[in-house]
Amino acid sequence: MAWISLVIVALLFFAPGVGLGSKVVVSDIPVSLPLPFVSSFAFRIPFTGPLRLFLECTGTWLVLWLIPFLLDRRQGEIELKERKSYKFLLQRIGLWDDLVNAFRPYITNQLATTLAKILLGFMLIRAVLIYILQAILDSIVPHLADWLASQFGSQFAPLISAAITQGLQFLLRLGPDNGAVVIILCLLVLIANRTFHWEQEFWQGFHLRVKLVERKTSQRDITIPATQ
Amino acid sequence: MTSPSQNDFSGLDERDWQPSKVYQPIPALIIPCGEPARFDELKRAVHNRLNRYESDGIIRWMTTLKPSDPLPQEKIANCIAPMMDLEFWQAMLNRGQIKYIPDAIDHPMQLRFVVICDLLIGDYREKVAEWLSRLAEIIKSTAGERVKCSIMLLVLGSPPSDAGKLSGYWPRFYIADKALGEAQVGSERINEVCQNIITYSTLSEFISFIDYFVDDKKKPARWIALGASAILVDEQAIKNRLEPEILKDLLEPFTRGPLTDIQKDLLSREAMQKARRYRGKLLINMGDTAPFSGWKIAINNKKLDHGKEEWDEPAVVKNEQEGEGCYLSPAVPLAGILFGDDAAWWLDVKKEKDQEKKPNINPTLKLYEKLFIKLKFWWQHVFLNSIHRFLNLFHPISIPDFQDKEENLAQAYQELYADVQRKLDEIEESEFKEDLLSVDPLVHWAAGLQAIIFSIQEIAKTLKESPVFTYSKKGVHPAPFVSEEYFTASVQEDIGFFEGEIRRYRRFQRSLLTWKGFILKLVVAWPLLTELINILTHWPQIRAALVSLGILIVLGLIELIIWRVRDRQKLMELRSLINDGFTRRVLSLLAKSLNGRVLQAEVRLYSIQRSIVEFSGLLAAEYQQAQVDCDRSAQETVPAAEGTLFWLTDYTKALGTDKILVEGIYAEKWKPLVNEVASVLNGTDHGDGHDHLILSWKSEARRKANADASQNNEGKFDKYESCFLDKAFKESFAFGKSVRRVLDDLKQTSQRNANDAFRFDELLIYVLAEQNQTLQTGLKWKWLYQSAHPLGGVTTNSSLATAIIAPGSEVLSLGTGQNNEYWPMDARVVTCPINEIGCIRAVVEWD
Repeated sequence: MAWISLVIVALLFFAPGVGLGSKVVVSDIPVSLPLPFVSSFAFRIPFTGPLRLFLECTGTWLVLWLIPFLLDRRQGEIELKERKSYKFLLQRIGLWDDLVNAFRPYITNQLATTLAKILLGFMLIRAVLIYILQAILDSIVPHLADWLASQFGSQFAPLISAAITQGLQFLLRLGPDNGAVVIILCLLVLIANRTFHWEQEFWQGFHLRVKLVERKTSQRDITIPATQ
Repeated sequence: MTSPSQNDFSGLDERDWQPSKVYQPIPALIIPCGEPARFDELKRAVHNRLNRYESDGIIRWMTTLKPSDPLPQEKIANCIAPMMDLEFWQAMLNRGQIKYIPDAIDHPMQLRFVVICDLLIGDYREKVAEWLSRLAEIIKSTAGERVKCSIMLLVLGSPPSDAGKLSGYWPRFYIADKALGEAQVGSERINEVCQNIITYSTLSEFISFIDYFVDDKKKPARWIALGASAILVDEQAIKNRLEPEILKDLLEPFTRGPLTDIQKDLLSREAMQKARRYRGKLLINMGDTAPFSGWKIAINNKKLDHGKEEWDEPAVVKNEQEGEGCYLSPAVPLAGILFGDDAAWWLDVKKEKDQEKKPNINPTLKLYEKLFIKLKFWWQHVFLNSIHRFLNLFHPISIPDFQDKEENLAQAYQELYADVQRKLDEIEESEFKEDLLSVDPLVHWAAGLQAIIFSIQEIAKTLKESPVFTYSKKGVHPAPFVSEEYFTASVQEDIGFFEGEIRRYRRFQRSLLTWKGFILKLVVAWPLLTELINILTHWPQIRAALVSLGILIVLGLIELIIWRVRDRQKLMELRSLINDGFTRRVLSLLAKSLNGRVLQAEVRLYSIQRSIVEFSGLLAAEYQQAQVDCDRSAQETVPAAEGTLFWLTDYTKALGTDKILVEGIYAEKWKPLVNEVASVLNGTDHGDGHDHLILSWKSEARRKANADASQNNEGKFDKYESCFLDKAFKESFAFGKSVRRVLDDLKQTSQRNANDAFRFDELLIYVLAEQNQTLQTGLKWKWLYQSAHPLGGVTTNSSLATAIIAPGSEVLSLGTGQNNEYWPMDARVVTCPINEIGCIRAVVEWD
């Protein structure tokens, strides 16, 4: 159920062009402070848009997953206690093998999580690089320019500064249009994937218990007649 | 009155009596009168000399009449009736014995009656004349007036005194127990003379000669006393010698000595081949009816240079080429039970394999024709099949469930086994005979019957030692039992194995995403890939979304197809495993069945071997007996005179004078005797400097036996013994018939061949007589004349007539004939169609 829930959330919030995510992410929470001499002081709290998106989509995913999961589990437990054969929700909708047992084909099966990891890693590395380059440009390049001018002449310093600026520009250009959405999607996918695997193991264990109960109920007691 | 010691032909011109060139026999009925036992020996003796004429019905014997009893008129009529039958005369005409069928005008019917009345024993002398007179009347009245009857009377002993009552008989002969000159005569001599008289009076012109003699004297004759002698060929003695020789010749190949090591080696290899061929053919024949499709029994039977086949152990190979699989036919009930309606798909793996064939293009075709064929093949077999197979990738397959099928399956196994048994019953007997009991002339006749015994032993040994057949290069173990419990247990084992394999496949199948799973997985990847493309390309989002969607669909499809193909491969493995499992089980049942048959064959072979050993012993004894018979007849039978009979024997034509190995020009001439030693004798010299050899009768019989064998078996066997044993194997030994009966068959063949080979006509009496020291250079006339001394006769009022009975008058013109110094001056020649020379001296007593 975790994956189905993820599919719904992905389509709802992150479908390219139509997903709600891009709208939610930019809507930081506006704050209006009444000031005595000015009519009011209104501003938006930074990062609240992405936070809101993260919470909304994660909440939706959690709700969509937990409700059927818990209900299914509860019903399963009841049936199991009554030693009845139980058909899980995923079995009823014909997705049991796909979402519990299947691990092939490997590429398709792992594609979403792999992409999420790649994107997240990329975003992280990019952010780190941007920070490092900016720091170099702001604090090290002026000192370096002086030292270079004293050693080799004044012509090298602008070159180094321009090269670092070019790299920084490139990294800034390489970023997505809405990096926060991508990061949230990646995080959501990774979280959901981990949950999905946990759920797989859970259902497999549960299924084993159901099978054991079924086997037990189908067994017949052998009565050994008492010795005459 | 003239003394009979003098020639009484003074008034008879030699030219007046002329014998006929060709004598035409007159049908004769011999009526013996007296004590029946007295005539037995006489009948036998006459029968030996006139065998051919008796069998043709020209000379007949009536049962002995006793003069003391009333005359059986009806019995006499019954004996005469067949002689007057038109069919009888027609048969004589067809045989060329007469020229005309009797008619009422020019050629009246002539019948001769020879009444022999024995007055030496019995007490009927007083009334016998009247009784005989009545007999003559009955004969005449029965024959009718229009039939020209000649009723001859031959009295043994002195004749009755009242000859007047016997006027119905003419001529009236007698053979008394006192010879002319009163010397006493024994009954044996009387018998010999009697048999001579009967022979010559029924089959020569002797009666006509007597008529002529008496007419010439123009006096009424009362009684004629006779003496007779004969020189004849001892036909029985020659036959007695020839028959064991022919039998010995036929038996000889069966009784050859112990086998050499080389022969044993050769026979062992041949036996191994036979055993393999037998098992192989059983399997092949069963293959036509067995519950498999596309199975093939491969037995490497390569043709060798000398036209024989060399058989390896039979193997059930898989389909067209080894290793492809031998599958249960979907048509058998077993398949239906297992796979239901999908049986054809589950079992018919061959069809899918066929799709991988290559086009068969004739290299002589033109380029565009080749191209067309290739294109057509590509379209049909590659393109359409590929589409079909591609579509099949997504076709759902129902995996068979074997639960609750155990009982039905066990029953199906049982039925299958019973069916195979039935099929084997139908085919086994012919294969058993054709393969195991076939006699190979090339191999077996090197060493006779010992080779057959050894060969059977080796076949039985090979059958016992070798596996029945192999499957996938491994021997198929026969099912240990065929009880109901075994079938149930084997079904449980098989189903357990198949279910394990199916579980493995299901596990694999469950590990694969379905198309729904694919969509679920890829939907999540879509925004992520779109973002990645966006980062890398900075395309407009909609474009990046579409491109990523396209990439995901293509990637998904490729992976889906790849894994579907793998799934089908796994499925194919499963199908093969199931097929293989069932095939092995069914083959084990077949092997059990075949093994049973092979064991039965082995038991039968041992039984046949015992029969042949017994037969061999009998043959050896028979061979020894034939050898003894040959030696005895060679020693005992020599040409010799016995009273009035001089028996001549000659084995030259029967046994030959030389022996040659039949090869070269004689191989062409006597093809059936090629490479055999034949007994031959020199034929007429054609003046070309070459020997012109003639086959002896013995070798002629052998040649005929071989020729018949070859003809009856369409050239399969060219030697009698091979053919005989082959037949004995298949018709007698295989069914446990008595070996004595088989031996009797062989002896009958030998007897038949001896009869066919024996040609009495080739034993010319003149030639044989000249070869005998006692009779040569005309001495035969002297011996004949002296031995034919009349038994009876009076010296007064009588005349002496002498007749020389000869088969042809032409020879008599030679130096050893009438011009010879020993030729009796008063003798006249009387023609006789049989191969004898005789002399009758008659004392005619006048009234």
